[in-house]
Amino acid sequence: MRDLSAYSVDHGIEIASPNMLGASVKRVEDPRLIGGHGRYVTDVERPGMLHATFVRSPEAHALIRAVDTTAARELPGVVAVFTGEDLREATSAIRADAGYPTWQTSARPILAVDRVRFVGEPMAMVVAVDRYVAEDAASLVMLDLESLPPIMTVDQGLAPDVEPFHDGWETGCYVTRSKESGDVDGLFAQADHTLKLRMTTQRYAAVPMEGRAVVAELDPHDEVLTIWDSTQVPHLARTGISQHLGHPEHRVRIIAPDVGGGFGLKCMVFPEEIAIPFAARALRRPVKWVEDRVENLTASAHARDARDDLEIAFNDDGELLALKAHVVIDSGAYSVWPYTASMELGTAVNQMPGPYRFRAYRGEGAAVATNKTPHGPFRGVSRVAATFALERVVDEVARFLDMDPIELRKRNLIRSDEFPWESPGGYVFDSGSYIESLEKLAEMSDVAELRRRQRDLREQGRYIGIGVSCFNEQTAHSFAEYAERGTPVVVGYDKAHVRMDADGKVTVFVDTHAQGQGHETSYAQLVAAQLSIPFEDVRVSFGDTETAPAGMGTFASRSMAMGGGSIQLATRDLKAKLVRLAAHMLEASPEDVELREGMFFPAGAPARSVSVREIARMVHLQSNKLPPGEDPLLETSYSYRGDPGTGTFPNCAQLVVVDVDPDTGKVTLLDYFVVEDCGPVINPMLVEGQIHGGVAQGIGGALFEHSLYDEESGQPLATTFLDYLMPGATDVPDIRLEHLYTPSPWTPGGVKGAAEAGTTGSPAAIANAVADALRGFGDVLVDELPLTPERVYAHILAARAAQATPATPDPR
Amino acid sequence: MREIEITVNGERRREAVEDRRLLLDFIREDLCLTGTHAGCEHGACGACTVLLDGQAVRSCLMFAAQADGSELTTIEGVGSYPDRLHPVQEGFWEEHGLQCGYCTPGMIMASIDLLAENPSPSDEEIRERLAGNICRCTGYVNIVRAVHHAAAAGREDQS
Amino acid sequence: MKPAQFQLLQPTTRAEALAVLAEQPDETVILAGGQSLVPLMNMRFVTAERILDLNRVSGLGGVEVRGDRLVVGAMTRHREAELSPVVLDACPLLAHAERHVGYVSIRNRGTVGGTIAHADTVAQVPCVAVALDARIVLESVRGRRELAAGDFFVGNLMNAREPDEAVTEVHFPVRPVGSLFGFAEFARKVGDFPLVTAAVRLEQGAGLSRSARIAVGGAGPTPVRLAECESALEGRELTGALAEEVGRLAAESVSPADSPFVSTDYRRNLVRVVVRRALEQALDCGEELR
Repeated sequence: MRDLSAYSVDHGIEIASPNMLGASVKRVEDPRLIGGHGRYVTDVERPGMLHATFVRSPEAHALIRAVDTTAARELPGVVAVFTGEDLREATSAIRADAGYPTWQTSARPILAVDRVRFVGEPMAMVVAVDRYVAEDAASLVMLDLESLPPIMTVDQGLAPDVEPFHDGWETGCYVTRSKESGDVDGLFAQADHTLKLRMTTQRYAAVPMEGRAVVAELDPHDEVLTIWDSTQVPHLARTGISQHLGHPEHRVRIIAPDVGGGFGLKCMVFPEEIAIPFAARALRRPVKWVEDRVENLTASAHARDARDDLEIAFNDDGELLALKAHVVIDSGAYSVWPYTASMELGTAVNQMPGPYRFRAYRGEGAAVATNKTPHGPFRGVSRVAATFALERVVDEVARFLDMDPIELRKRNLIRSDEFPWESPGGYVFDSGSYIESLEKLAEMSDVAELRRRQRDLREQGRYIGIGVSCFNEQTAHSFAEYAERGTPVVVGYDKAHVRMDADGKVTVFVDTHAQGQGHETSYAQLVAAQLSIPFEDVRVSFGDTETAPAGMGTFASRSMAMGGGSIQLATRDLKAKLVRLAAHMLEASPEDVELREGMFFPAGAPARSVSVREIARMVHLQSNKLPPGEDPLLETSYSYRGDPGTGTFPNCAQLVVVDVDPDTGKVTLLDYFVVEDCGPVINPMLVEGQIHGGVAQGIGGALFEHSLYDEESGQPLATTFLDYLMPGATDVPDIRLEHLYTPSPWTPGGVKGAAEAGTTGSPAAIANAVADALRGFGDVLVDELPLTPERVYAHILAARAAQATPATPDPR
Repeated sequence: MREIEITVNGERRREAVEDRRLLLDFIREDLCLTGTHAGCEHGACGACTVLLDGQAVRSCLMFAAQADGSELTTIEGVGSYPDRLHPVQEGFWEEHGLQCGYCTPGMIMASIDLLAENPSPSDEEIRERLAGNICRCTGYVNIVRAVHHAAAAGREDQS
Repeated sequence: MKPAQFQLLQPTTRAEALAVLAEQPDETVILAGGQSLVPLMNMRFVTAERILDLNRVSGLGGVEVRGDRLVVGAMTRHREAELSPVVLDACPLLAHAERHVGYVSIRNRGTVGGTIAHADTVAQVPCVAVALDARIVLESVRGRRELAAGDFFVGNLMNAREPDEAVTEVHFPVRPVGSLFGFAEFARKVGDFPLVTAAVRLEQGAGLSRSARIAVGGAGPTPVRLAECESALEGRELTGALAEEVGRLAAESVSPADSPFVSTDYRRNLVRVVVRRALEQALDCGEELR
């Protein structure tokens, strides 16, 4: 049992300038970015720099007979060509192992050795004077491959007689999972109805506009390898690169400058991030590699790809009793470092019961190896597919019972007075506004009026659908989540260092990098709010392991709770010292000192005051005046752990109105409404931006994006933006957004993660809306994404032909 | 290699280029104007949009040699902080029309091209015109607002 | 993703260009607007020793009416064809179709001659060219010839041009007074390549249709005229019901290939829809005329 006695944690933070919080301060990042002066890895130039490109496997599964680099090496301008054999000794294969008893390991060489397991796997690295020449040479590398039949579906991988995918494997799965809580069988036996449905979410990808990019340079002066890396996790990257390259961490420096989007793709460590520093070290020259779009779409990582079989037990009155889930994830060819191939499955099994008051739950499943690009994190890990699956099933229950889907949900959601709530999936929900969010959503969207409009338009031959989703999600995971998985890195804390200089201005050093989130702005607000100094007097620094404290970086909506939490607590400690020194200078006792607008004064006597700046000057420049026992130091560090619990759980509800073209099946989004509750908001403008962008990525997953493969040949089919369709400005409607502000009882300031809610809920809401629209044609089950025009049109035809299999619960 | 001469952001530049050098790489690596970004290198994302003789074009779909004798405007020539921001840049800043900033220069160039032709575009016109510029961060909601903001500023300047 | 080595040849006159092409026709690829070619070069799907750039050749651009023909120079940018009052007046179907070509920044560079020569079955202008029986003018040092659009397109991305020939002009028939037209396409996203296109022009006498021309693109290796559909319109009053009937007929008369993202059946359905929609547009423009 968890100790939840500390349900409410008082962090002792006092806000001196409350107007700094909840304020849409314009971003300090923007002047450089709008002027074209951002500095991305791809912009890095070093004297004598060489350019690398990779020769990648053209086959999904093959034995490597030979890699002939002779002709490539002879091309003028080519400096080196490396193969898997060349790197075999000097680097170690990437193993990312989870701790589950059923785990089977995979070893991924930095450049393939003996065998290739997906199209796009790096086989050789060409280093040349520029990228053009490097690509010329790459086309001269001769590959001799012996084709093997690929595993291209999870069913092939689950077959009992499947060939070992990796050395020593006994099944085709990286891992299987199961967990159970409550009397599942009993509740299923006594329920009025049960319903079993399969929901499938396709494989797609994070696709940041800037792909991955690495520049590495060895400094002969001290053998420090400086690596400019487009990463979300500078210190994790340092650890991963150091470990696999055999170069000590204290001689590896990661610089992650401006990063052009991450969304989870850049919180892993990839072979290229090890190969490029290897080349720089071997050649003693700077080497640059910038991923191109084809590489990005085929050879970085994919995500989602979940097949969820859900069975739900419920009563006539709409009470949801129990849930069974069987989750199968297509995890691709290798386990990714450090999250492992257990990530999507493990979280899905934990997450599946969602925000509902299920009394019992059985979750199980498998992460299956296939000859596809490895599966990695992408905004809304597991929750996007799980929310789609569960919210579709809940909608089908409402439909069967002829209940309003919002009413059915409200009847079953955890109430706000029931927290902390131990979910049957193993999570502890800290707080939330599940029912209130839905109510606000219904009110802001005027759903009754929308239904009237739907009926009117139906008479004009238009098929409008209204769909809702609601969910909670784990963010800012504490140690518990990763400890359960037994991953190589157990995430659950982060650090900050706060320094005040002699002029009273502050620099904050933190590891939670930003790839668009605006941390340079929101973190500064946190500090300015406590210290009551001008916002402009705070600078936020991250992205360089030489200066930032070691931490876990940015992913899983952890930056505001974890990075922001550690900043708030370090600032609290700095302020405590300032108060002590102010008290000394004012000859008052610290308890009686107040802070307002950058001035300390004794309570009730504002005429006598000392400024933050005067204290800073004394500490740094006239430390002879310091009272006994005080150091001439205005720097504090804090490492914040996310205990207790299993993270913070924001919640969100979305409603979308769609129009389905009966002729083509094309779905157009007409209106979009979101109510989100991520606790108190530091900068509403930034949170709204996160929701907007998150929804757009969900729209992509719901309607457009698909990393499709040819199942015979194993070839990826969506290799450019001509086939991998990204949502554009005409595909995303205006989004109306309202907030609720339920604090987490645990985190400093009560903040929760905000970045993923938009993505997590939108495929579910859109699918429910499309299902609602399709009811105008007849019985049809929307059970698979993406809802391309062709798929929706097939539903229309099936409904019209009355051949569709309706979601019919088993009779009791 | 051949010599080309291009007027870049008002300044005349002579450079030697290989025939196959893409205008995009020429701008970024030879002119060291790294504000123009490569997003797809196949003309589908708009991140590399620049103005060539006043018209928006994709610099990944041209060779530098083809721009010989042209006038080129990149994001660096549009305006800069603190006192020379273009209204479109102001609009993006005011309305939070960017997050990671990678697509932003191309988005700003396409918006400038739009407003030059249509100073008061509707939501639909903005969305349609920017449909060829992909942004993965913002969901476009604030980009549309940013263009409106710039359009309003332009109208104010007129009156 | 960088192009392979080539020599860029930039002649300034038509004669010079044709001479350059005649030197090594099989090793020379012609570069017009580059909006389709350069992506293929960047991905190294197209490599060539010599790239003949037509952008500096004088006299290859521009539009004018000569007799009953709208003469569109090969290097006329899509954007010009879209916005030119001459095109709008003489061949509004072309102007209308041009609005669907890619994005403005693509149309600023891409050319009418380039998209014709590229011969992509889903491209908008080839569909219009086939519908209107446009004439493709090919020139080489050997001389000049004209091919009907229907003869010029011989397969997807394949045309009847000899290696030493360049497309120099495209001639569209000037719209007969009072004729009706429509262009429709289905694309998954704005500006994306359409899956199917349809172009329609017909004349009317006493409320009845005659001389109908219907072409669809994307339903086979080249855009094709649909003779059965054209005869189905002959002598009948164009109505919504007839548009639907002809759309169905169109769907039955094509056999599109299966592709990974789009099945044959679905594409056939799209043919029905876009043909109907193009005819509905014609109907609307008929109403405007009245």
